[in-house]
Amino acid sequence: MDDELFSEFLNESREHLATIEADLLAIEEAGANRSEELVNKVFRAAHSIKGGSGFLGLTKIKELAHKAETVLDMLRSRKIILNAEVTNVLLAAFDKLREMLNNPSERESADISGLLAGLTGLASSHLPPDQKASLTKQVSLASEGGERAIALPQVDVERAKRCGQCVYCLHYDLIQDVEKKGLNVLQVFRELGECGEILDCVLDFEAAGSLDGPVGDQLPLRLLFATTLGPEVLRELVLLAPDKIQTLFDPCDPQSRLASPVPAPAARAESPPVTALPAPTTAPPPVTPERAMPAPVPATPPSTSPIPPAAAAKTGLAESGPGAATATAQSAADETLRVSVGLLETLMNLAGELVLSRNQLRAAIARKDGQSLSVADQRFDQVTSELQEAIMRTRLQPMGNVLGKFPRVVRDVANLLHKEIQLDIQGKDVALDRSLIEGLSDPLTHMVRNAVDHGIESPEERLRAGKKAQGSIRIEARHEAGQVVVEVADDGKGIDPERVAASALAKGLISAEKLRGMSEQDKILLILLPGLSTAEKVTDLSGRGVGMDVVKTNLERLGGKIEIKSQAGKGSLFRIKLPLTLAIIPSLIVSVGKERFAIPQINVEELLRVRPEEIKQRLEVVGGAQVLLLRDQVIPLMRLDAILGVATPRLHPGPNGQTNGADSAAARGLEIAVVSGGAMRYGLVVSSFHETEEIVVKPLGRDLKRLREYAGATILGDGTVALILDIAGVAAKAEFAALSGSTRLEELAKEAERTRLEETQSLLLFHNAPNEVFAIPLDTVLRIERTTPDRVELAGSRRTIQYRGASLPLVTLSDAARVNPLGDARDLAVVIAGVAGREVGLLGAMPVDVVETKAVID
Amino acid sequence: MTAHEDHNLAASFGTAALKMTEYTIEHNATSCRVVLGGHLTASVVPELRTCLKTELDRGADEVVFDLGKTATLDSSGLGLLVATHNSLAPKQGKLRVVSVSGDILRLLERMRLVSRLNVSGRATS
Repeated sequence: MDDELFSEFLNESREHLATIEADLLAIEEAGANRSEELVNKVFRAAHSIKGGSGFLGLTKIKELAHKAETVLDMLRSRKIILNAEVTNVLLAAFDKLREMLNNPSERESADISGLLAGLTGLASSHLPPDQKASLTKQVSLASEGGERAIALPQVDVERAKRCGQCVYCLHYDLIQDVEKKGLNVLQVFRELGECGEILDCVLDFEAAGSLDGPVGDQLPLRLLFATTLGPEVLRELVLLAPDKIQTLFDPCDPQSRLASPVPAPAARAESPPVTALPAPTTAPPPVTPERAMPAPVPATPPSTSPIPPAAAAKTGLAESGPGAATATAQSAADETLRVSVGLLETLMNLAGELVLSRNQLRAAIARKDGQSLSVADQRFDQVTSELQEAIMRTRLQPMGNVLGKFPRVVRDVANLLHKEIQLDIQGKDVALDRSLIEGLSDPLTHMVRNAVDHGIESPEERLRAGKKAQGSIRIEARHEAGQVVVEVADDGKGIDPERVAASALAKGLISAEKLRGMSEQDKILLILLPGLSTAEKVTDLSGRGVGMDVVKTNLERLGGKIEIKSQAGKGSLFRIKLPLTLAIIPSLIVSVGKERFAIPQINVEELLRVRPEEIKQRLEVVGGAQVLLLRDQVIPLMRLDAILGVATPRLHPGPNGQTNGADSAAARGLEIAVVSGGAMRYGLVVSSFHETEEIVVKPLGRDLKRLREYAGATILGDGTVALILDIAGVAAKAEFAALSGSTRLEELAKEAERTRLEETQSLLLFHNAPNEVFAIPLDTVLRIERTTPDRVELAGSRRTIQYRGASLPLVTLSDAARVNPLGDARDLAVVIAGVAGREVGLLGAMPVDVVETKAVID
Repeated sequence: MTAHEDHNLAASFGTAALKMTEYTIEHNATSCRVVLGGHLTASVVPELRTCLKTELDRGADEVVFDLGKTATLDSSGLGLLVATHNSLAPKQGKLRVVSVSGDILRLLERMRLVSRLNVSGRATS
């Protein structure tokens, strides 16, 4: 197995798994108000792991991930509600996946049958809830002496390890240990919550009996509890007999990790197995004074440990040193970076330069010497740029790191699907910020896999289509205008816009009305919607319609954009544009009123000023929205002040009393930045443009984070704070959704065209053959002359007439259109029109008439 | 004997009358709704248990516990909820615990009982 490829997969999967627990829990807590984005995220994680393990031949991992994905898919389509049972099963499945990924010996030998059954059960939803719960529990932690086991996710133990916490299993009897001692269960839980974390809790339902029996006098509860308190202190706190406190993990005492206090055999005999239904008539076990009294912790030989060693090993609890060491090493690897000594030297030199520059500056300030100040300023400027560049270089990594895995990916996937594919990779040396390289790996993998799976046809199909049997995929990375462009192109069957549209419609992702207004390009972009897939078969590799969704989401997070070009039968091109780094971005500073905003340069397409006299021609109000006519296109226009609610000084009212927003600007023209973000392109009206600056992105504070129209904040050269605009967010705030925006545009354009055609027209009516009336727009007519047939001169097939001392060429409608010839009308009319700078006569018959009509012209 | 019975009867009526203020049971043919007062604790459980058993024997297959006014819940109360759940389970009946809030809701959440006992929070809020 290719080690590099494999470790790449491992790292990616670990990243996915790292956040899954929190995400699932957040979804569960949110209930019906869950964030769809989060659900999609968890689903994509399972999908990625499934895909990766599938082609690496890790069948068990694939199988488990596939099952989890199926359940998550149902969750996504709301066929399953994420309640505690579902969460438990899913968490247990992901824990197992994590364990299998981290532990090579587990990958093929792990017993996942219980989990698979649990997941299948969820998917078929035939299992009663109780069984579902037990399924989960059983697999997570081995059953303990016949009693129902408690799930103890590996991650909890890891967290406890990190935080130096002990993990205990507390065996409560809520009646005997709480109520009979005059305690209240609310209070007990509150106290536990205050000094630690309840990891899991299982109440024994059977032991509580039913209404048929007498009031039960036991209610066993088992609680997994993580706390920094030591065993002695805990015993004081929970007031439980020592045999009811089981230490699962104690960081101070590695030896105690599993074996420590367990219920003594004698004590266990006293308490009936909780899985057995208590016979209502039999007396409950008496609470002996011995049990209630603190007793020395019995040193139990490992053989009586309630968790058999094998099972313990499975949970990873028994692993001591090596496991922990690996975990630390992994996280350390993520946080360290190799930097060449030469680069480090450069950095050191630059740091020295910086100190010298500071000294120079101080001296210049002290002397109040303008000349020296400007020299110091220059020097500072130079050192800063060099320092910035050098530090950037430490973070840069060649694209080869991520592109290198694709030959294998393509080969394996192609083999699997019996396709012949030639892969061409360009630009392995192109360097990119480390964080971007990492973020790019996932989307690129999806795109390449999609290209192999959906793009390239089978050899037979290709031959039938008149292509070479061998398909080709080109991956290219290059620098272009301060950005990194990565392209994945294939010469496959291309994307059929109609099929994408039909699929989106069938899945209810878009309405039929919206579809009608969409161009082919818009329809192709629909593949970026979550949940869309055109693949007929769900395969290991792709086909659940998450691929492109992942790509888009990940890229947007990286500040990148994706373009898709596709020609049916010829192939597709996916182009990713990314900034070089996320920390410092060149931006255009604009101002609105007194506020300044930064627009990332990557979003700026062009800047234009509409002069006051042009406003009427360039700006139109269509369907209540302003649009800008930009060359041959109509794009939506938004006023930044209106969107963000920034007060701008209004100048004079518009000359025509316009109230459409362009009024104040009418006197001084409009400054418009044409911006694009995602699938959206629009004009943004600002008060004025300032310079382009390299700005340092500062994240927004917690309270402002939810504002989607801002991507961050920065401090400008003069010390003022400017917010960075998120172009897609601004569009969203203005209620232009990405895809529907372009639909709306088309609507606007169509409406504009319709309005134009519906305008009142003056038409000149004339006759051709008897009883055939034709019309010609009056504004194209120069003059009308009466004549008779004998004045028409024939030269071959051409007719002319002497008119104002020259020969005027004549045409009839029957020359150009399939209409009846003029016939033998005596009273002729020559309609003289200017065509291409010359006068031409159109021969018709009298009478002529002029009408005003609102005719809709097809 | 008679006197003794009378005494017992009186005593039980007495307690019943006293406890009636602790909860009310509204019922129709197939469901019953227990609206609890301030406590679902050992003091009301035995009584309520008998009432619920009667309801179930009469054919109720849905029991709703309304804890909207309840401030304390103890182990016996929990036991009653679970026992009701257990009695309803074989006949495919349904238990719901509604209008739960504050400490009690947090407790049931921590005990991972929310979905098993069909717990829902206060309707308004």
